[in-house]
Amino acid sequence: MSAPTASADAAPRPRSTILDLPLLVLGLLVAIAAPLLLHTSYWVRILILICIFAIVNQAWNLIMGYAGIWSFAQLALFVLGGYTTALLALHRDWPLWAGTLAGAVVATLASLVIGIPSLRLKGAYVFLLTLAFHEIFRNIFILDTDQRIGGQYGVQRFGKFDFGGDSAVERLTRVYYVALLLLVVVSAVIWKIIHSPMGLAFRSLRDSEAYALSRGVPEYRVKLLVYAISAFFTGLAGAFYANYLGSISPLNLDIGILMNQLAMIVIGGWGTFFGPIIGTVVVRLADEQLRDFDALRPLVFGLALLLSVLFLPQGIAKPLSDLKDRAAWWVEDRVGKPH
Amino acid sequence: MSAEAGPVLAVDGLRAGYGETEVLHGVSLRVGPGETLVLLGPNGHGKTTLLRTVSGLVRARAGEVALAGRPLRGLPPDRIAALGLIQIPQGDLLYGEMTVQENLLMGAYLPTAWADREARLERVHAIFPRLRERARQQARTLSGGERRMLAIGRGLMADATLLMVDEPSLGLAPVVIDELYDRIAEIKASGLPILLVEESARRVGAIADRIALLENGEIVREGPPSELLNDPALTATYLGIA
Amino acid sequence: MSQIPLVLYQGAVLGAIYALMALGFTLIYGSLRFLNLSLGSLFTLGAYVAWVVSAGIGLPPLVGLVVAFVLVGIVGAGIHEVAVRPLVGRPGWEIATIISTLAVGIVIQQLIQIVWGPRNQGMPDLMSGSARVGPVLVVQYQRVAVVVVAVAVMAALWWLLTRTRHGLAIRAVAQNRDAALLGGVSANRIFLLVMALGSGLAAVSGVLLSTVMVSLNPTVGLAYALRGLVVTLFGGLGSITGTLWAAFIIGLFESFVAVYFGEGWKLPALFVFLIVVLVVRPSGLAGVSAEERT
Repeated sequence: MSAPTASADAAPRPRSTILDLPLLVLGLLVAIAAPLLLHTSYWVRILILICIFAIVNQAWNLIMGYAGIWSFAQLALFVLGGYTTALLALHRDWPLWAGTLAGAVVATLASLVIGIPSLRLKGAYVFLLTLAFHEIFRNIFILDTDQRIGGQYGVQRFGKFDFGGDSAVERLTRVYYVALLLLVVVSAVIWKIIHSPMGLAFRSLRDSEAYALSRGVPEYRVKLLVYAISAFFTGLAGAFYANYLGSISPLNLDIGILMNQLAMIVIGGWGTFFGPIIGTVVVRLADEQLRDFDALRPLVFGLALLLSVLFLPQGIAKPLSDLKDRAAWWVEDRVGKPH
Repeated sequence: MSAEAGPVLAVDGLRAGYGETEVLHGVSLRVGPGETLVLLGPNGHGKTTLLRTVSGLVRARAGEVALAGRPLRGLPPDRIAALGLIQIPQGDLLYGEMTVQENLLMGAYLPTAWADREARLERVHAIFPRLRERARQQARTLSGGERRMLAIGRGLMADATLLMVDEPSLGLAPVVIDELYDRIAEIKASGLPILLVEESARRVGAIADRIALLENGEIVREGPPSELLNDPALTATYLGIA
Repeated sequence: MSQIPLVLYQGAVLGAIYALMALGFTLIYGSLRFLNLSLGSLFTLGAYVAWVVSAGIGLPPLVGLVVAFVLVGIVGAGIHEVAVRPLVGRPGWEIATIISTLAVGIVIQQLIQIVWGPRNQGMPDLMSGSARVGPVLVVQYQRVAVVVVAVAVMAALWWLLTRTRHGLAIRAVAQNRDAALLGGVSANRIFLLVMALGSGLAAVSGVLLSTVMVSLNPTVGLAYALRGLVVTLFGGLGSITGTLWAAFIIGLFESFVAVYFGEGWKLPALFVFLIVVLVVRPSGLAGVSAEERT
């Protein structure tokens, strides 16, 4: 182990971007074709949920994976977005699209309420304070016994998204395309953020706080800003979710759901850009397969979560990207480097 | 006191550093039975790194360290300490929220020393009576001089084959340093081999059997104090005008 | 005003139980600098082990308590080897260990559910009977016994940490790891010991709580793990005396909320309390600033 430094190793071959664009286009084509190929309401519903949870996970990954903020208030913000649109539609007759925007805005404001006391603190404290907000939130519904905000059964019958369509499958497919569009837009914005000067600032905070601080990165303000941006997308996804289902309830704050969500970004690969999307697809599909073994589901996901943390610290995104590199080099060798 | 023919501590071609920078570029030295070797060198030239590498806190990149003929390289620091290589670290590294007494007892953590802890406590108290007065006080409340005494006292609680002391005079008032060196002289008189590191040659003349100069990560000169301390070129650097 | 004796009485019982749970968190955090989230499930596991020993086999509850401490301590050491040690030192290991111990906690909770079923179980009493003290207060001997046992366990822990070789080493490693290594302490062995001890304390806490609660089920640990964490943070992560104070203050606070506002408000009130405390004094009760405690 104490051999002299391994300077003798050959320099690793630089990554090739030759396949990036084709793969991205292919992925989008698959996503667009999916509801047409799997033309049943059952599958299209799954696809819609994948898009919605992928948005939540992209937003979570932005703060957990890239900015190093251990926030577990993600589902609280998600549900808050949902309640905002539901209650505005029910009591104030707001149109659903306006409620969706309002949901995102309210979640953003809530993130400031959570972030201002939490984000000056570090690590373990942030984890617990954000979890405390999650629990407070859950308890507010449970304790709402006179049902002013729906109590433990939540809010229903405030309307549903309707983008037209003749059959049930057709209607769902249109909702799916809107959800997919949202996912693509949110992902693109997050990509922009990560590669902006601010993204550089918070990634340097995550990797070496001392260094970043010595370079004058205003830690608290940067963290608060990225936290608010993440909350906006999360609230948006929550409002979309409520409007798609036509209901929202505190069941969405169940600890099991939180674990499921965590499994998605950990197994997919947090701190990687496509990891959360891959993880959402994999966990969601596995979850469907395990439908018949309901009691075993948490056990399976608990084990998967553990094994993933231990043996795949960057999730399945890492072996997949290694595979992509190899394929790209192979292509490069065949057709020559593009210039 | 041991009957071995060879040196107590033998360091050969030791290389070590942090990250991409190498601090020690192949250091070799010997400490014989009952001998006190004083290692002088300017700040930042690798003295502390050398001690930390010998005691296992910093991993060696090349070279060998042997204690009474037993190779140490690759062993973790707790195993090295168990073999009797006791380091009194720079900055004391006390257990701030523990009492003086508890700090001393931690020096006798290893089983054989622990069995004999009361007698050792007496012995350390005899050398540093101040530590007896402060026994129930938390270590973080001590003055600088007392902290240094506690760090040395803690080292003396162990079964040392060799004692390594890192800049005992650092940050202390001259009167306190004088007292401390008197105590170190007593420890030396008991026959324990010592490797002592200092930045200034001012006080080491009385206790050193040999002096080595460490500059830029290499031993540049070595010899008896009578020779080195009378060399005007060296005294200018190591006795300083300050 | 007349309710005050009741508040004090219930607060003392809760405080004693929370203290044990929180000491588990704080000992482990103090040494290894991470939150061991498996403690919630180990709390439950301890209660089930004691339940099997006392209600199943029919031995006295105190025997169940000891068996739970030992068995769960061994499980805790196993968790360290499997789910913690391989991660320590990796980039981002602090959050990785939070997730890995959380995952272990889920697995344990599910296994408990598979083995013993989801139904509520009743734990036999340590003692039966009660006495009326004053106009409102009925003191159950059972609860007094719980406090006595908890205080005895804390006293034993105090003795261990201040009088024994390995106990001193636990504190030494927490305060200055390099110094402890130079003193011959094998940090890895101490970590294993601390994980076993902290897990055992969580188990004892679970046994005691399940004797004063009406029932025991596989999910009880979660809410109490959260409370244990709140106590730990309020006390100042890693500080043992701070944790003890925090446990009793929070026990009193909860019992105050329960008596005057109703049981349901305990947890939300507690979290609001924690948020206010951490905003006003981020270090918790015991000194060192939270910003320095990474």
